Amino acid sequence: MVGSLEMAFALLLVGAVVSGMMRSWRSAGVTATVFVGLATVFAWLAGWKVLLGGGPAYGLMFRLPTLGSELAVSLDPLGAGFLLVITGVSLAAVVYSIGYMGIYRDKSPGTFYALLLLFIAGMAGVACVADWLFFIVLWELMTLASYFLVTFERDDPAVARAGFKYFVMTHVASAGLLVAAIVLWRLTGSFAFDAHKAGLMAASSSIRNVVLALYFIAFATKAGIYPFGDWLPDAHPAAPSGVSAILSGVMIKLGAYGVLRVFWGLSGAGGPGGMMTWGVIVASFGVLSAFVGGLTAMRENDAKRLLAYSSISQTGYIFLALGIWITFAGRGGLESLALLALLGAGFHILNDAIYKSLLFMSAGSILYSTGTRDLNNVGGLSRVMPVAAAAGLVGVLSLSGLPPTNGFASKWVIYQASISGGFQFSPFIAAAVVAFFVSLSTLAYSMKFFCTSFLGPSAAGPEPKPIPGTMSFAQAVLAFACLAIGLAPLWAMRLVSSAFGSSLPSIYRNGFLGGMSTLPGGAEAPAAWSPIAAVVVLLVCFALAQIIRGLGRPSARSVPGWYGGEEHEENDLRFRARGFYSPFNEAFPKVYLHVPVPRLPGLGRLRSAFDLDTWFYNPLVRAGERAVNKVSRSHVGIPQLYMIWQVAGMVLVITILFLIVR
Amino acid sequence: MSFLVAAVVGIPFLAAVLCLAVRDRASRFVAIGGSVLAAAAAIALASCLPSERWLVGSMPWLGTGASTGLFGYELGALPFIMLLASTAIGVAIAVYSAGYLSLANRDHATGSGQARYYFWLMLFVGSMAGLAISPTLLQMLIFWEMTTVCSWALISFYDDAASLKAGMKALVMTSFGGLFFIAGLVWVASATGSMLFSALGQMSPGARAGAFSLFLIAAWAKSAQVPFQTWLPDAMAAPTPISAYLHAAAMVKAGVFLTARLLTAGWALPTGMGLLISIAALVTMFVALYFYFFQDDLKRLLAYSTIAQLGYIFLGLGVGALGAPMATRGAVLHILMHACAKTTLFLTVGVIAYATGTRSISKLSGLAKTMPIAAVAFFVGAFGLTGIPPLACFWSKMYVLAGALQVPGAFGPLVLVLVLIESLITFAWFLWVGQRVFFGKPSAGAAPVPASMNWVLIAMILATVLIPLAGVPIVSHLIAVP
Repeated sequence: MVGSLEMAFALLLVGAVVSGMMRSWRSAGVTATVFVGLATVFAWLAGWKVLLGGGPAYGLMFRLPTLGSELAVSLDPLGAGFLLVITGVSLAAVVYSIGYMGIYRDKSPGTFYALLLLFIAGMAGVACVADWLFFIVLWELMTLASYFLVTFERDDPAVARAGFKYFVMTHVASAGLLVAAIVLWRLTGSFAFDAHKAGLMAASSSIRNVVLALYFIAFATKAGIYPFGDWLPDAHPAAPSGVSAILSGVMIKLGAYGVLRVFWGLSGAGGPGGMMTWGVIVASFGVLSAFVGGLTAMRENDAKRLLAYSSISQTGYIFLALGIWITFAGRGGLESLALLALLGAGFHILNDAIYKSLLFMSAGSILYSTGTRDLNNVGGLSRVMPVAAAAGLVGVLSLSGLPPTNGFASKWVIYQASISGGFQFSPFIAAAVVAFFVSLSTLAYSMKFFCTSFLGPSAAGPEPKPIPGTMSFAQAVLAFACLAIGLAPLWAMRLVSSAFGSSLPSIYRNGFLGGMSTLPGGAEAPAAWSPIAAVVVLLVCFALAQIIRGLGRPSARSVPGWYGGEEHEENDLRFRARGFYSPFNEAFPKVYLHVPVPRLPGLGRLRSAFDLDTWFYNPLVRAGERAVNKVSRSHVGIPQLYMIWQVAGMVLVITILFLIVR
Repeated sequence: MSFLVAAVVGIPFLAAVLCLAVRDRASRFVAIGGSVLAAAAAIALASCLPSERWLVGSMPWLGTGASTGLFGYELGALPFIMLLASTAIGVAIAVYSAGYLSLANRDHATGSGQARYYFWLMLFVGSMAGLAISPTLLQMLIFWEMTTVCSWALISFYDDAASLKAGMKALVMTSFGGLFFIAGLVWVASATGSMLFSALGQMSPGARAGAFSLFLIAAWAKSAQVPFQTWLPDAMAAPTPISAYLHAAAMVKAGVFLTARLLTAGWALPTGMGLLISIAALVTMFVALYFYFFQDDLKRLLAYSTIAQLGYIFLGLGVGALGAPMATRGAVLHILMHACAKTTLFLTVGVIAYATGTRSISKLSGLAKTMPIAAVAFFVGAFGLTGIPPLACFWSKMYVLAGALQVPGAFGPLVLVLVLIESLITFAWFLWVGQRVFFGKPSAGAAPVPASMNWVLIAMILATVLIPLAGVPIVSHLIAVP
């Protein structure tokens, strides 16, 4: 009996082969979409069943008895939650790519789609194993496939450099993952998640902390957490936009998945000590990342780099919430606070996956239409692609956390968790303040992204071309998801909480007009949020403003700008991206410090010392040759001389014989 | 079974003789046929796992009377791995050579001398097979020296000054090591009256360590370990398929094979010897790693990488001798995994040189556009070699790393860290070289490559991806070190 999960993986792998053989972009894209679509259906069937309490799915493929390892598709609620997000967002990105990849006419479509499907299979696989060895195998398969997707425009040296940085940094971090897994294998004789959990509990505190540090660095690197995720701002813009959407939307979330996996149950009531420190470490890196990413995104004028920094910032929010969860999990009386933070993290993972992939698609649409990612040289695109512009607006509203979108709902939960956490451990108040501040900067760079590209007058240069329907469709679906989750947050929160196997009603209940409100009596601050009510209030205010405007009868007139009599091209007068927040950007230093590639000037010094030929073998051979030459000089060719040698030799031999026999 | 064993050793020798009998251009088909049959026989021998032995012959004039059972065969996981690596890859080399040795080869046009080439190649395949199944030190020594002679002839195949010198150098350095083999053999035979690998177990611990050191020196020379590493980069003067076969898959593996054969023969070494093997291996790995950075010739880079990877195998064996059976398994597995990955890389370089006429990293760029199959093969080979899961060497390195942690004390973790550093730097360097050669703007045009070479590359890609499925089960049969 083949389960639906096995079916989903088989479809992805067969799809990779089949679409890999296609010769035209269109047929390859449609084939890939069909396969990913079917795989998504099967994965969702399996995922929903697990999420809705059907019990974990398990199907053994094979065992490695000498290693105590096994490859099995094994899905628990946490993995199921991620599987739903991975396949759903990936499907949208594949649909988007059908139209988008048209700009790569001269490249091989088969290669792209084969790698893309392999990449999706790798990511889905990571969520579906319960064995660290095969987790690492699939994790690296995902990295390998994504490396070739990132370097798809490999003729460009900058892209090749970005890919190199990406692969090397994440591979080094994964080596740490391997070390951690092998250390725990040595302690337990197995690679199973459960065994490693028990092994971590039983290990001495120094081994435990080293292993946890290796895990944390590996996952923070993948998640793009500052300063480990230095690869991210280079690699995400380099990839084709559909791939960027998956990278930012899904793949880096798997870093958070890893942290969840490692700390899951470890910080429970029976867990070892020192977990609170780890919680604070995770939260600190989260806050730092949110801050640095947010401020850097404000200075950025490249559409995709701006979003890449934004991803770093938003992942920081997720890590902040995870840190609060790790800090308070299993501490008497604070379980509901920990759960609140956990829900905030999970909810934000879901939401960020949706709106960040949507925004990367928006950036891709800008690039497709105008041929540039530079926000200084685009404008007025809402006239060319109204649907994409509307979707992009929903995306930036979600990203900046404005009600009634999903971004607001999850950030609200994270704020609630950090403020409530602050009552227990005061530094978390500071974290909440920074998070508020970063939220402002998020709004600022979101506005910059949206206003410069979609609003305002058109930029000079070639006429922007309209985007294909598949691109608009994918963006519209994601935008709809943003609004739907934003308007019915409790419904989505139920799903998130079932992914954590926890009971939601212990924190939230149905609030006013389908909103949610905190149950009294927990450690968390009481709060309530009703998106419908907020929308009603906003609409009422909007209507009031219109009425007041109508009553005042303002007279609007359109006049050309006056610049002291000087004449300008219209294009010169546009308010460009570089003009946004320039006083602010000048006042603040560059906060994102990139790691320079080390140069080793003295590397060649030891070369001759290690090269045995130069100082040992060659001189030896030459000395041998010289010695032989010397001996050969005795061969002078005069028979008399040879006879003297023979007589002398004979005398010597006879003397020796005489001495012996005597 | 003796029929199959006779086939796997005899067919290549027969083919070698036949190569000289037929016309120059027909010799390639004889070689391909012979190698295919030998490989088929080797694969059929898989049914002999876990172990089988058959011995015959004696030398009564040696006096002790115990010197019986000198020749025959012994099969098991370790010989089978070696047999598989040398015969299966032999097929790839024979098919590839048929395309490579041609006047259209821009790196080195070759019109004549094919019979000579295939004669030595087939002789080499047969010698490797004989070496792999050797039940005694004496038989192994005979085939060992035969591979040395074949290696000399094949390295010097092009008959120009550089290749003659390189062939001479390889011959001198490896036969110098061979002298230590003979010395060790004489010591063991005179002390125990037996030439079996297990005979060392009957010696006193001190004598055993002494005799083993002699074999170890022989193995170091054969496997181009520090301080004997310098012949291998020069041996790159050989035709590329020969470099792939001799200096990646087969001949240099003879040294590690001898060491592994001794270490799995059922006796223990003093801890000091295990440490010596491991530390020497680490030194070799890092010296070779250091030389990566100065290589512009792709083949020389691969030669240094081979030195480092052989160091890896020695490291696994050394750590295994310290009491970590996982590491021994990893080392044996690495023989096969490295053979696949490195052969893929060498053959890719051969294709590149065939088409462009250069092997210089700095002169090549953008080849992914003009030679897509070579690009895939290079990256699969490089990632397979540096241990990106799920490709070939990940599994063997995994076993070695896991074994390192089985060693009590601080040495294990130290090995783990050093191995990872070496692996990561190698990975980064090969990635950089790959990007340099295959990404960017395409360099000057590439000539078309014979289809047979591309098919071999495709087969090697598949082998590098799939070989763990065969290798991991085989080493689970490996008899554990006591």
